[in-house]
Amino acid sequence: MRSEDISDAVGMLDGEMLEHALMVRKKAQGRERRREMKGGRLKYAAAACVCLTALSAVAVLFVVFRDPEASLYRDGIPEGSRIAEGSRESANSDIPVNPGKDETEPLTSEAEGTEKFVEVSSLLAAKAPGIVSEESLEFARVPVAEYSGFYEKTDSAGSDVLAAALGGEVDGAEGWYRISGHSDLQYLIGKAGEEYSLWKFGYFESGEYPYRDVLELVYQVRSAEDLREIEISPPRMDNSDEGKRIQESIGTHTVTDGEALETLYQVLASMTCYGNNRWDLIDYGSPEASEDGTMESHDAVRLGRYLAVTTAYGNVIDGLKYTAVSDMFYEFSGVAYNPLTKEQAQSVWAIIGVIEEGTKVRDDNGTDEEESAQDAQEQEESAGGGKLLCEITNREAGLEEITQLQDRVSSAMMAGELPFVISSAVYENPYRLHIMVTSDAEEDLEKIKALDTLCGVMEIEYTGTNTLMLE
Amino acid sequence: MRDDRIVELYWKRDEGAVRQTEIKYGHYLTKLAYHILADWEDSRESVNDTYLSAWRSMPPHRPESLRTYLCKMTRQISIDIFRRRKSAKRQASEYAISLSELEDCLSAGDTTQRDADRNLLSAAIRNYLMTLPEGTRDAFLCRYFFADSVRETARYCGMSEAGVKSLLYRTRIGLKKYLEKEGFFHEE
Repeated sequence: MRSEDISDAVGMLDGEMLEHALMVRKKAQGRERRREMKGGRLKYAAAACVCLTALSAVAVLFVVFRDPEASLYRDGIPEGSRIAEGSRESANSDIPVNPGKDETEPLTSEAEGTEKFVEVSSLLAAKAPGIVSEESLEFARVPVAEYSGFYEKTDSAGSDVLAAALGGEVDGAEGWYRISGHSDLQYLIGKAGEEYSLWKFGYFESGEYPYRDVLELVYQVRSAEDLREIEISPPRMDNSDEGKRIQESIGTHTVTDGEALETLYQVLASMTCYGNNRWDLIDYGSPEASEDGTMESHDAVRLGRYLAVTTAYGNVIDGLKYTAVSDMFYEFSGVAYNPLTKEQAQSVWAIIGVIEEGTKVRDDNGTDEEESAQDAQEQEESAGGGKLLCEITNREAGLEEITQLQDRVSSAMMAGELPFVISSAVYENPYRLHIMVTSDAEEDLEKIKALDTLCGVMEIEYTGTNTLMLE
Repeated sequence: MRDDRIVELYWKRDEGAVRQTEIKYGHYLTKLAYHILADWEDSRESVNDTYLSAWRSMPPHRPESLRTYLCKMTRQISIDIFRRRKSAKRQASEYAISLSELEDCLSAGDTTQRDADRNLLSAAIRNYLMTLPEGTRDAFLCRYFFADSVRETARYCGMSEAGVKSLLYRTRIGLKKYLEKEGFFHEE
């Protein structure tokens, strides 16, 4: 035997073993890229920092010598680092931007690959012991690559629990730590003195920036493969009887289909974020019932969706909301994104299931047509749009079974066997597979139904050959 | 582009498959080839041969992990190029150094003339690696599958270079003992 024989035998090892090593290398390379990106910009920022520091020193000295009793710090925080406060706050939870080197060692100072992974849910207030509930709003800025990340303090487990969950310190941000075992920056643990608190990412404080940077820098999402599923639910701003009825009819469903995830990822990664408090750019329609009962009634609910994106690493991006009123994503606090193109909007509607009966219809030429609910329904039926061809009869199926059925449908789609299928999505309450098709031919429907070994868990919606657009 | 969509392009005999493979994995595969060959021109030749092999093998293959599938191809093609070279040019690469390290896994008294059954040997190595902690296994594969340098292996696994060297040495000795126990070495 020779060493070449051993090397060749190593080359024949199974993929599962190699995949893990590949994942470890990929994560390490990602960390290095972030460091390099930060370092590359550091030299250009150095001169600006020196100037700013000099100016700040002059200003501080001016204040101090002008009023000897003036303090540089209030409640332990350098002035200027705290952004906003609520009506009540705890001095112990103040987080200085640069507190100086702390004496408490994190759980481990080793690379993330050797840290114990701590579930975020174990640190949040709902499931954690020793809950610290804050009634105030506290915010802080944390440097993330070339950006300033805006973080909000979150109800969490006690300080001792957080201390035991410390991971590596965030590059260039003393006193800020990742959660142990994590490489994302969605949640950070801040240290002030001997107290620890939990903070959640909101947005970057920058005029405009690509949302792709948020996905990569904060959530470690670099492709659709880093997404596991997207839960889509109706908006909850309208709790009138009609609003609740609409919410119930929309229901909540989960998208796991690979093509759908790829489509949504491409849309999200292409978006530009305009920052927060940009309500001037956001139009999600009226949550109220209109007095004359026209189509705009409750359209904030009918045409809106809340998204919860679960990444491959287990993080849940739960702030994104979509409205088909203005074809754009937005978030609470008025974080606005650019309106989608027509093609992007159409692909998003198909995935999140915005198409409904009885709404204003705009044909593909872009002209508007107002229809009564009955006329809209008749038109939809004659054009074949939004019509249920097959309803479910089996309400006992579980999520795993429906997901397996979706996998079979996806495989058949990829193999070119179902060219008339636009998308498939897993719906809840009860669990079923909702499939949108462009053909109502019996032989085509039989092809899809043949995949349903559970019998009666498919809900097939016929959209026709024209895409209905909603206003 | 997702791997399953790239594989689908191969199955549809769409030449965009090679382009997408190059965009997504070209740099990665070239680096792997370079670790073995230590020559950029030879590395590019190896990666081009990988694309050709991928085109020829899909269909009928439909790999679950395209990345692993391509890595194995590039590795083997690169090793074949390496073996065709004259001995002087072989010495410069990480792969050559790692080969010399693997001699620690051989029994000194082994007089086997025939080639070892690769399948049996691979299964035995797999069984041995599965007895090891995950981090040790990853380090072994970084060094002896991907031919990463000791420094790179240390970086990927979050260890010092000295720690990695020591770890790999103990793993090689452990593998040698395991192969002896499994009867892979014959002494006269």
